[in-house]
Amino acid sequence: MKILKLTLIFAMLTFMAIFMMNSCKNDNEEELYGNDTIPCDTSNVTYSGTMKSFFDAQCTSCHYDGNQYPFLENFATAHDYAISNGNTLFTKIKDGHQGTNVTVCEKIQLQKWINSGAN
Amino acid sequence: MKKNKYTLLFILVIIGITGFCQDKKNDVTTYTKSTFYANRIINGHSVDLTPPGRLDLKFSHRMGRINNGAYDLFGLDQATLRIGLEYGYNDWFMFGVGRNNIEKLYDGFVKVKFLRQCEGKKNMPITATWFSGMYLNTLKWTDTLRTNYFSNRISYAHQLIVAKKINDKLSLQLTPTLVHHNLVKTKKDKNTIFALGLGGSHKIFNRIALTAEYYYLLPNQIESQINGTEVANSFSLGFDIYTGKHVFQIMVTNSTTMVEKAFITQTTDKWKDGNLHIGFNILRLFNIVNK
Repeated sequence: MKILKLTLIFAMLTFMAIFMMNSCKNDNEEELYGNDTIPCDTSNVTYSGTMKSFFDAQCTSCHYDGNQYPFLENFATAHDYAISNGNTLFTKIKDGHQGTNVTVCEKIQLQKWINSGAN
Repeated sequence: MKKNKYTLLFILVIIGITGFCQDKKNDVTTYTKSTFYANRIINGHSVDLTPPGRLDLKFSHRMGRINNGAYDLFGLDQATLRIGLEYGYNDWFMFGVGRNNIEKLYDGFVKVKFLRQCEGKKNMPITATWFSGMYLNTLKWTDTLRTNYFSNRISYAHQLIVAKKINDKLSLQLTPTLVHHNLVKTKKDKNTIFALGLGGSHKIFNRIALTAEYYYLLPNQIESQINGTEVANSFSLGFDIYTGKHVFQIMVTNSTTMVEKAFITQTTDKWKDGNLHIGFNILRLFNIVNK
């Protein structure tokens, strides 16, 4: 009985120690999400002025005409997709689809662009 | 690797000392019972466990600030709440779960009593219990633009609870505590926070005890403010009223939360400002298994 008790204690403490070590994170919002106080210009977000360079940097290596839909390297197809599937476009990019790595400001600009008609 | 070594060493030490005060045939060893009336002193855990085979249904409330005055009926118009179910598996192990309305927080914990105060053939001056708790914040994400990780929701607390029943009336407790938040606000804030808890209970009448509890946060660990206010140490005074199957705990405290990760590291009200809260815990024991 005593051996059973000791074994149970040992198993439980070991489990707790392993669980604690493997699930502990030491994150802070500053380093994880960057400094949100950096000014983010959302006054005039357009395809040509803002989103084209963003899509080129993050998306168009795959999403170009004739390859992977949606085609984001030109205004017409990017506009059409953002109007019809804006929510999907935003969610995919926000959640790091295929390794996209975007800043908080870029997410805000993308959302602004979609919500204001994707022009 | 170093951390692993220390953990292993710690586990071995605990197992090594578990053998104290075990019953053997013909031993006349008297074990101390009920160091405290309940398995909480006020907000924090006491060294005691829920009795074996019993299910402990626990309702805890902390009201709004007393100094809000008569308009809020001295805080009774606002309340934070925890509902918990806790089960005593045997003399040395219990576990429990709970739900708090602050942060829509779910909590789960285990407690292992590995030393029992006793005298006679065997002598052990203290009772010691290990507590480990895990806390899950289930609030909707406030910032949906950023990538939010599930691990951001989790915090942990671990306590070595050491207590001594000095005599039939007085019990004292020391509680070194470690709280870990997976996500903190700034680089200056520590993810792992150390605190030292002190608690006591003094029986003033038959079945009524005066209780006190203080958690001291070691300095320079939490730099961020919560809603523009610095974090304060938690201090509480209360009464335990024992009626057999119920324990009523009534208290005045500067904390509005009832789980370790919150009342130790997120209390912002201060006694010196008069920002105090009336609260109560109601414990009801049900027999589940006759042991």
